[in-house]
Amino acid sequence: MSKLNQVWVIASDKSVIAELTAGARTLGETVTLLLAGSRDAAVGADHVFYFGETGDRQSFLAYVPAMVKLVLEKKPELILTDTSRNGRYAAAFAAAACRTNAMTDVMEVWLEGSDVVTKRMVYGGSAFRTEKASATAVICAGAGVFTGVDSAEAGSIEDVAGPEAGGIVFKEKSTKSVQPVNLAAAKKIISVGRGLGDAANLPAVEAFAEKIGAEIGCSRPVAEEEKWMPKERYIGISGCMVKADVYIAAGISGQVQHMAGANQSKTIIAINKDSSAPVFSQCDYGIVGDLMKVLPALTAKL
Amino acid sequence: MNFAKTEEQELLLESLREVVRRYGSEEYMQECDEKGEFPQKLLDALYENGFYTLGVPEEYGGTPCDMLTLMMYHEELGRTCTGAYAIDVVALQMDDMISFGTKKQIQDCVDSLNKAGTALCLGFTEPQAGSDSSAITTSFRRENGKVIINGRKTFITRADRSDHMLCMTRDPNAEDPKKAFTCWWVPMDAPGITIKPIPKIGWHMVKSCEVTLDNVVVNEEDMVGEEGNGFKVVMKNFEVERLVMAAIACGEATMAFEMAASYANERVQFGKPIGSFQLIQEKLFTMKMKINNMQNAIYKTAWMKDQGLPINTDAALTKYYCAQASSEVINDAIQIFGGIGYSAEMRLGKLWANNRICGIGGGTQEIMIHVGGRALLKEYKNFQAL
Amino acid sequence: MRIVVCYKNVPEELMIKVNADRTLDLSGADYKIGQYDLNAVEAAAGLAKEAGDSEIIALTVGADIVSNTKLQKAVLSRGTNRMIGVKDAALASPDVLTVAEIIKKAVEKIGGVDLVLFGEGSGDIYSQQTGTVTGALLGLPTINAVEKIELGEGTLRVSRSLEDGVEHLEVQLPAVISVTSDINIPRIPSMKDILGAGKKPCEIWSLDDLQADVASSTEIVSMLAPEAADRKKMIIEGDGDDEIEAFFQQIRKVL
Repeated sequence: MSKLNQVWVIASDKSVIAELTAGARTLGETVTLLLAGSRDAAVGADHVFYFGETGDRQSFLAYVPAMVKLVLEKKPELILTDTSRNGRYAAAFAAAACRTNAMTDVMEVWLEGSDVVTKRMVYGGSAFRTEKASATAVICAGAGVFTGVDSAEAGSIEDVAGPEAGGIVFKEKSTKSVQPVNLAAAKKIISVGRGLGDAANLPAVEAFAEKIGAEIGCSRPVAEEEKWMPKERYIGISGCMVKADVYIAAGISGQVQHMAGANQSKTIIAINKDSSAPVFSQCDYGIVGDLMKVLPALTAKL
Repeated sequence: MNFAKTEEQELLLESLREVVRRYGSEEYMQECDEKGEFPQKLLDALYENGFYTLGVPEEYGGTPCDMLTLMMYHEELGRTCTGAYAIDVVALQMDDMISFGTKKQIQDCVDSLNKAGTALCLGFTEPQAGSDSSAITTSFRRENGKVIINGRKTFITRADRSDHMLCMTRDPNAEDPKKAFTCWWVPMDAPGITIKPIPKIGWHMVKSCEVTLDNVVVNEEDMVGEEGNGFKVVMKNFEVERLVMAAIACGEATMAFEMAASYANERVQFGKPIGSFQLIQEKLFTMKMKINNMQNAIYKTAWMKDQGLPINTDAALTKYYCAQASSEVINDAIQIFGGIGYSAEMRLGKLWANNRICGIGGGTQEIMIHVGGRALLKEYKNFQAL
Repeated sequence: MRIVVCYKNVPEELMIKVNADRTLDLSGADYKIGQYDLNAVEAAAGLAKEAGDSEIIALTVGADIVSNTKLQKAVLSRGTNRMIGVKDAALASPDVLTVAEIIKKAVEKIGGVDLVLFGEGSGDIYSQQTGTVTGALLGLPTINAVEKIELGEGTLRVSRSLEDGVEHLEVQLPAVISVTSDINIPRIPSMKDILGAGKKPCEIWSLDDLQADVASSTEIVSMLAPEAADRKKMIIEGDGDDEIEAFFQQIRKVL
């Protein structure tokens, strides 16, 4: 299948860039990176346009008008960004300039002739939508969509100056320490929901997870409302989408929005006190019981 | 005949569901039930959002509404929240006081409500006077410009958290027994009052108490309404109170039915969902039929009240039917759930216990028949068939 | 301060039916205001209250649903002053660019707008694009992922939530801002709010009124429900010792 001529990547984070440029390589002959952030994140691409530092120096937003100017000049057939907030912002500005719709949160990307086709979930996970765009197409792709990684230093790098975004002044940034979590790549996941009852019950889950070598995820209420776990760990239509070999849903009722993030997993196991919970009609194996009884018992048996 | 809810009513019920979702969760309800604690967080939220004072005139901090809307509110609360019974029916309490109380007494109620508290408890029932309300013996006498009350009340709900009791007393020396009853506004912290909760099989979130009044001193100004007309005060809204109890019972039945109908689709035995077995279908069918009937009776009677039509008979018919039918529906729901239905952790058991009082409180089933039976006979005395 | 807050009426997911060919049947679904839009409406109400002397216009784009009086009352019972709906049969499932163009033209027609607010994304498609695209088209300072807004003098001080921290920015008005669901907890409309809603003005505009049209710059090839996953559904009831042992035997091979 013939590739597109130019595929551009707009991003800041090195590991994201390594993934997106590798993905870009499967779709395009040449890969160009538009980078705002640290210079050493310039990997994978043939050529890099470097706009400036972000972090605690400047907001990514300041560089977007300059990126758009370049896009309109060079007209790449496809632009890839990630699903971070900055990625979505860049995608929106690029799409507006190119008079197209950015295709966001895509699960799959492929080419049909010179058209770019994507698949994503809509209606809270109730449906898959296949969408097609002709040049210039804009895509926001999350972790795990592209399986390759290209960490080789980029071919060449060129500084780009201005224009800066008007009317926005960067004051400062307060950083928070992020535990890097890669649920998208995890083979085994134990996920907890409201049924956990209390954050104090987490050690039992952690012990089980360690025994089987699993990552720990959660449902949206646990992260957003109860705040028992950080947001990076929540799995669902508006969180992480996972494709584990084993996915254990403990104390999770199994609502569409959550299961949409998990049901591409090979085997789904459910633990829930409520026998009428929807999760039981979406799992391979299940037990109607208290996770605080079941998990420690399983940990002991393993 | 328009059976649809208005958009405002639908939006109101959506807001109510959101309040219950945030502040009346099943976890919180279970906790309050187990500990025998009042669900204050829920009451606070209902107060903040104006639900608690629905039906109270605006000048007293409420939002006026018609009877239909008031019933919808109670039904939906009953359907979505197992603590619905714990929430006072403020509209009716306030109406009694607004109709007969003094300015100070009404202000006392408003002050209590503004703390998201209980406006009053109803001091009516006594150990020897339940259905036979005129058998009360709690008495009052005048002495040195004061009024002294002595007696024993029982099953006074929320006596432990009320600032005042609307206390029904009799004058032991009254010449005309029909004019012997007078109501007093008794502060619950008055010396001589002892409150003792009675352990119950359900309704654990509120305390129903024995209240002893031992030479409790009140003033003349604490009389509510006219001397000798005590019954008028407490009976003013008793019909609507019966409708509210029916509405809550109907809501409880609906909650049970919805759980059972959903479960019948999920639970598999003998390789099929149990809902595919006709005996289960029959139960679901008759449960839904009863719920429809309950709703129709409640809303028609509420509509009649809004039209200014007398509802003495219809309120009795409705409460009787709803007490009976709701208990059957909840019972069937437990049956459909089987063993799990008997589990203490499931809410059905609590619904069953909480619902049981419907045929007793607010007028027993037997009294409903007594009220309705006599009235029907009278109504058809000179009946001319076509 | 004049604020335009944009919202979308979306179908209740649980009521979406699936046809035999896996296409979706939305015809029986009730509609509601998108949940993330409620945060934007609440944010608008908060800012208006703080600024004083303000007006909030709720703006929506769609087909017949725009004229639904119950949904109009729903948005008007949340602190907004009036509502404008841009309605056309072709706007039943509009794409982002179309909606953004229409909002741009509506904002220009309304005139004197200080702030255009959006939620994080629509409740149904959740592309998280429309707010930022609208800002790009309007050529105004545009910010997404805002979790806090403070009023300044002709400016707003915003906190922008990123994956690794929070950016603090100052933005000149007029501006276009998309807020996250962390910014507030939307109010529960009280009976008073609901009764008052029916009295507030609603206007319906057509595409002609705005000289806008509907374009489709990307093509929706298909929208299908997932194939029914063939799950084994082997469930054990109860968490006694025997049950847990049986469960363990079942799952040990995959763990």
